[in-house]
Amino acid sequence: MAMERTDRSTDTNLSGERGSGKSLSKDGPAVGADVIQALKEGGHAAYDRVFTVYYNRINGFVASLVKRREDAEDIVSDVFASLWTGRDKLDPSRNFNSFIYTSARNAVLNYFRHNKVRTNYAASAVKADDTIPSDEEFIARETELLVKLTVDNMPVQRQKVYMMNREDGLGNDEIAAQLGISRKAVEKHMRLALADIRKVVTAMLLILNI
Amino acid sequence: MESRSREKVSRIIEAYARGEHPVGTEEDFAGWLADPRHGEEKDEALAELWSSFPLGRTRDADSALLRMKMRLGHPLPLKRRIPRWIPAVAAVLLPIAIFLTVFLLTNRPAQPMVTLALQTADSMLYQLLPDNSELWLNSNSSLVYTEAADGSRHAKLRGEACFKVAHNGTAFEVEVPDLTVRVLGTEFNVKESADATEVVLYEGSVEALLPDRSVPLTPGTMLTYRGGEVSVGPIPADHINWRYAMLDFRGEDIASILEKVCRFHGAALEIAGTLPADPLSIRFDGRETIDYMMMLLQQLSAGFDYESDGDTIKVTPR
Repeated sequence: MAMERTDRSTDTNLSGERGSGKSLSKDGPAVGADVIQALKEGGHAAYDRVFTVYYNRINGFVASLVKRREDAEDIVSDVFASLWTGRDKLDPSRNFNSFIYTSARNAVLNYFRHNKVRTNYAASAVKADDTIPSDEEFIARETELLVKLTVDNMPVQRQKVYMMNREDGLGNDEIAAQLGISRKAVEKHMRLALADIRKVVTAMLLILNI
Repeated sequence: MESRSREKVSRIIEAYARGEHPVGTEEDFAGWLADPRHGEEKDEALAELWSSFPLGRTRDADSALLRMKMRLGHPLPLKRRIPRWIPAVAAVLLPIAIFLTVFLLTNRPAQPMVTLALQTADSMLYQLLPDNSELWLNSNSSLVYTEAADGSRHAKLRGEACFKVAHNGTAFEVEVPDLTVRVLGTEFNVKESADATEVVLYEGSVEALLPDRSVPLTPGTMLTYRGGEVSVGPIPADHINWRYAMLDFRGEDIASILEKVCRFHGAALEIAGTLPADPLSIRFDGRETIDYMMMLLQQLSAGFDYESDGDTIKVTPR
């Protein structure tokens, strides 16, 4: 139910001129309406061309969101397979980049929706008290997620120091001893870690205040 | 408000896309993305992520395309290697050939013009015949092909072969000791042994010429000639077209595939060490060169390197 709402609003957004123009401005060797027309008519050469031009983009997009490699490969493969099996539905007069983007994005969203190991984030709340999380709860979780992601993306040592400090509650001297680095180095890592987090949390707080 | 939530959303998507995350974080992200709030902002951020990956050809794309073509059953690019000297030689020989043809046509019109003799031992063979018909010759078989000046084609076969005959308005005959098969343009298999002769018609039409009569065949039927007795019936359910089956691998180990591919082409296979178990599904139709098959297999399995001089394939596990 929730996803349907997302889908509808984003589809409307995508079909707008603004989105497609923006996406295409950076593009080099795009495929023209003539190629899409040939693909629609079942041309193998046209299909090969579209595949070759778009593979890197679709693969990069899907793989950056779907981290399990085999799953990402399957999704990319399915997007390209349905491009062929559904070729009669192509409209050469419409922006192909937008079309294939929508197709790839929906495949990824579908994956997230149906992935068995998926949580809990919205679903648990729905199951528990039959309501979706409140806006306050949503924003709190969103902030938590961003902090988690920020910590994940830290350089290894900085991340270690931060986790030992925050999760394990260790002092700077203990951390220095365990990691075999100087106390000064620990302080520096901690300073950088907090700066990273402060950057994102400040943005969050501004939103919360409004 | 809107621009700030937009910034937050694109930060989350960007941070998620950039790195690897523990499963718990992946689940949180999936749930967050599925939540309908900030739908428009999420989509804008996703579209931005999408555009950050450049268009254009990459090496990965080439091998992925080959896999996709196999999945969709699209024709694979055939590699028929034409050595560089052939066009030059042809330029010299063609006028002579034309002169000879005219000369022979006016003088001895019934004589065979083109003769091709093929023989296999352990390996099998794919050959494009001069008239553009295709021939798959099974192992331990031989075939002598002649083409008359009027375009009619004749092949003397011992053993087993599958033909895909190019239509050129004249007959194509395959002669085995028991009978002759005459065709116009079609795909059929002839198997001859001391025990019996079998003719299987896949498409088109053929007739089997026996010493005393001729038997027409319709697609999907098989003629069996055994000890002077002729029977015609539907292709038995357990019949397999060997030219498809010989190189149809379903979850077969890469080492076993390599062995069969090399045997098919009559090439020697040397594996330095042991290849890791790597089951693979792939189907060749026999038209491919060994270089092409090896290239595909290497791309699909990615577990080995190889060198080829056409006769010997040297495989090194990675």
